[in-house]
Amino acid sequence: MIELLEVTKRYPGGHEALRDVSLEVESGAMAFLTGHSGAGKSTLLRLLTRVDRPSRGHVVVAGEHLNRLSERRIPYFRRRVGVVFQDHRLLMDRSVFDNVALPLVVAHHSHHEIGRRVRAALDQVGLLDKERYRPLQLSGGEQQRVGIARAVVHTPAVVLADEPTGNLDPDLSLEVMRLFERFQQVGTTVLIASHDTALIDQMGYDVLHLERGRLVGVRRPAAG
Amino acid sequence: MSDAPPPSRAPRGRRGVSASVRAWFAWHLQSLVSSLGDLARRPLATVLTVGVIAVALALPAAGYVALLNAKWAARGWDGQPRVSLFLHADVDEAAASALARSLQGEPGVATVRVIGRAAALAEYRSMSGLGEVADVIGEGAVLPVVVEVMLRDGVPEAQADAIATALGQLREVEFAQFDLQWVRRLAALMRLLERLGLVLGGLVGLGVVVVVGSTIGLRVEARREEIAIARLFGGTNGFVRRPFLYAGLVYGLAGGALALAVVHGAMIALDGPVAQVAGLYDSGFRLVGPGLDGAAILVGGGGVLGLLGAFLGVRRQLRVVE
Ligand SMILES: Nc1ncnc2c1ncn2[C@@H]1O[C@H](COP(=O)(O)OP(=O)(O)OP(=O)(O)O)[C@@H](O)[C@H]1O
Ligand SMILES: [Mg+2]
Repeated sequence: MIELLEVTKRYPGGHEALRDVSLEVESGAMAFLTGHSGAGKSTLLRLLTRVDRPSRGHVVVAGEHLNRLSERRIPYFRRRVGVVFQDHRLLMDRSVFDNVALPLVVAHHSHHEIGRRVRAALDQVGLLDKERYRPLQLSGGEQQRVGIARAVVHTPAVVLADEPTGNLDPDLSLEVMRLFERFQQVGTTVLIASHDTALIDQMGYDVLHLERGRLVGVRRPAAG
Repeated sequence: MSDAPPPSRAPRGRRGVSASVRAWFAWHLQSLVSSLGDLARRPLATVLTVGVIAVALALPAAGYVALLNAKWAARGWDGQPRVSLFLHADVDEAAASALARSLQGEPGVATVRVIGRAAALAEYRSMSGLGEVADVIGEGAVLPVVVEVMLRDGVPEAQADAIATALGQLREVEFAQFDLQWVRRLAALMRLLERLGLVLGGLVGLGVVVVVGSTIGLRVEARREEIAIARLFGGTNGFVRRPFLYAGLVYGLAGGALALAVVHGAMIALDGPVAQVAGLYDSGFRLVGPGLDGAAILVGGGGVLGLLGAFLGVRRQLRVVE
């Protein structure tokens, strides 16, 4: 579950990237976050991973009240969240396997367990045959999929994705969205920031629309 | 920097204690191997850093070994403080023995020995190069009887001085010679060198910490993106720090071991010439090494300094990265 209550985020320069935003994504649901460039999508996702803190208001993710979360507990909270970044953020000098293994390695899983889960995740994104490649030997879409495999390899309760289809052609974009759909179907809460409205409409899930830091609308999918 | 999850909500599952200890161990081993691999990937930088540490550590280590040897060599002479009482010419050996007996029980006195006229002459003669002079003296001059008073080990200097003065005022005594001056000077010199060595060692230790700290700091800086990503996926401070701490430890241990090799190399080079010099002085003196505990202190100390340097370097750099 994801919940924001009257959240305002003001950056040091004084710019208000989010203004009085309240929203909720139910446990096990999938939703999109949309809006023009600079609307505050990435800012909102950064609050959800506790990379940043709201200037005002409350944030709850996976049952954790982030305002009350101590520094010491942040890593353990993050192990229950999976993140896909707008700019991938892969380790360029590590193999695909090592990149995907990271969330398991930081949580001290056994060698055997890591091998098993990483291959399962790579299989889901269709990159099983490229585990030994370096990210730079992959196409943009393949890199994006490595990022997605890394975000779900530790079966997090919540998956947050920031423009996961930014670099993909329409066919591949749809394929990636179907992938997120599969994670949602097994109980994961999924929130995807995207401004690809055509694709979003095609999917048919809740759409949270941000405009200059304000939540201006929540659109439920048309029945059927 | 503990990496154990806080007690609440720690999903430890059914794993027993021994299994988690094993996992902990495997995890550390993996960190160690990964940081070794990291060091091996940049061989030149690693060799340079280890070399600098080794040279730095070799200096005080060599000084320590030199001092050890100087003390060892000086052991032959630095014995007990001694007061030689040269008696008046008219005091004969019987009277001297009586005096010796009376001094025997005095506080601070260890042993008393009478050196008769003949013995004094023989001793005089045995001192190399003075034989002929002694022969000449022996003919006519009358050597005084000498009473040699050895003071107890560890008598404080002030008390030794007082005893010497008191002995000099005895009726039978022409004059008393207190043979402690040079021993004192030697001891003071050794103490000074020892202190100097400690100061030098401290400075070098500080230098090693700084070198390792800044080297590790650079490595942290070079891997800041990796660190940031590890944190985003739940890496704790301990997780992020650990490979760097191992790298610092390895730097320090390797530097200490190399310093030990350097000191041993220097000793091997000096051993022959030292034996030659000792032979000329009729002495069986040979160089002594730092010994097993000295070696352990050097290598272990290097490791501790490396670890400390890495700890400080990582802490500082992570603060900058944040
Ligand atoms: N660290 C920062 N300091 C100051 N202002 C910031 C910072 N990060 C973002 N902003 C501002 O906050 C606003 C929202 O930025 P944000 O990155 O959340 O937008 P976005 O909706 O993700 O846009 P895009 O679709 O281009 O990724 C922008 O006006 C941006 O300039
Ligand atoms: Mg953005």
